[in-house]
Amino acid sequence: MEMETEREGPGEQYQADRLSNLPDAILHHILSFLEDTRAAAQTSVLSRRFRFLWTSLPDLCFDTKPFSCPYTFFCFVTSSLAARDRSCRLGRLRFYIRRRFGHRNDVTESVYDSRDIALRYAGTKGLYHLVLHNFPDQSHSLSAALLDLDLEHWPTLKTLELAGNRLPPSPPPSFAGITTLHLEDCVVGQVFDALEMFPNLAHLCLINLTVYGYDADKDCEDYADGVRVISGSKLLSLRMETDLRQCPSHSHIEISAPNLTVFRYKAFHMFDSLSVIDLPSLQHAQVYFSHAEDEDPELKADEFFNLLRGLRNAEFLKLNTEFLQALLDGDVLEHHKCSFTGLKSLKLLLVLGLVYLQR
Amino acid sequence: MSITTENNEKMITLMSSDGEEFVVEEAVAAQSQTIKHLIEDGCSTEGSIPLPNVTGRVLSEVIQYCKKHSSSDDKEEKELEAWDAEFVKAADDHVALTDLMMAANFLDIKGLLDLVAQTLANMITGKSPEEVRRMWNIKNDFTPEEAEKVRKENQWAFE
Repeated sequence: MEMETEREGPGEQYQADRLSNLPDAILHHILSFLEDTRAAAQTSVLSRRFRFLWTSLPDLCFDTKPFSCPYTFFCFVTSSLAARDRSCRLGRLRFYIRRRFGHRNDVTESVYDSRDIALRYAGTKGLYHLVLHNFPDQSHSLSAALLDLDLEHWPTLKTLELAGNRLPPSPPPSFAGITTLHLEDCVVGQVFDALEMFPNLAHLCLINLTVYGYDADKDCEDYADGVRVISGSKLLSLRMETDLRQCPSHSHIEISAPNLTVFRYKAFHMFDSLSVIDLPSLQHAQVYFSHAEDEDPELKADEFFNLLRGLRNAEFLKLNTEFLQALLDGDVLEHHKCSFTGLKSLKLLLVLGLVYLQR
Repeated sequence: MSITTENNEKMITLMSSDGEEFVVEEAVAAQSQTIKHLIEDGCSTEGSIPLPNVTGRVLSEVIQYCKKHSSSDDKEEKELEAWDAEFVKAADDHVALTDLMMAANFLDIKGLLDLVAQTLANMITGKSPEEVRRMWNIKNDFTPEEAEKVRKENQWAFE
């Protein structure tokens, strides 16, 4: 590194170039917190110190957001990969596909092509963290977003985060290394059964999943009935959320995880029913619930009480007042006892000016 | 020698590069993976742990951060985030932030490393190359021909 920083002019304090003096690994870390790899690539014009720094980033983030044309995005992804220092590992890859480019262009196949090229590249570079977000136009691009991940080639992968993707009905049998799985707004096959394919899963997050085979034209009731079990001996944390967009189902979800310490549940309607079978190691539990105007939460009181009883080992418990109100309205607390022997803290979330969510 | 407080918290002494001593709870210091390993290897029993790469000024800030983030209490995430924002604001001159970054890296405190990296990245975001150079006193050492070449190489990043 050349240190030839000069006085900018008379009277100005000499100040060393602290940023350029940082070691490569630290500068890489800073660059990985920029918006995306495009912003990191732009630092190449600063000085010689920065010229090739971004080509060895262990963290790539491709986002269609700042691009106005799919072809330019494709060129950016492929030339970024071509420019890379071949000896460098790639630890994390994030790929965000937005619905549209600027106001003019839709997402085209070339965008998915560039994603697949990046995935193939990452597979050879020791990737351990993969994030694929797709923000599709619900009506047309779900099929285009079908993701056929062949994870057999990625033995190092530990963390997988998918949003807005359609997953194949049964995942390939090679998810053994994955410890963290985050699925959001995904169309999934039998994900609950498929959890057996993640024997080392420690952290699971499921948000607004649509179960495969759902047909909006059909009556919702005829596809998703049945019991699903979430279980795992290594599972430490579980977060589940549903919102109003999700198709109502009448399935029943059972949770059984002997080592689970953190459980967070947020539900915006009452269709799924949930029971907690066995959580002996629970420490932090959080249950937030709100319902639509035309739903009667009293009907759920017994089920809520069972859920609460399932959380009895929690040390730190957070509930919202609507959940508690449903229990009170259903009179279940008067007739049954529920004892939290290890409780250290109870927090109630009060929503002022109670807002009922419209469906 | 290790000291214990009334609460039976085990205390350890950290010594900065300029000889300043800090007595902190072991649980606070152990947020640094580096210190944690030193303690596990028995380096703390012979008095204080020397940290030759960290000055007293920087170390006191690092300890502030570790204290806030240490206890196993059920702290609200939002409260911690607000505290973090104030913390980096207080350190908001470039020298302090780069020093803090180096210290967090040496001490291996992931939360602090990420917090400072994000702060430094935010300072670069949305600025023209000339503005970034001025802010950090980065000398543009490209010849005009080189500058043109670099731009061409990375044209897709500038469209």
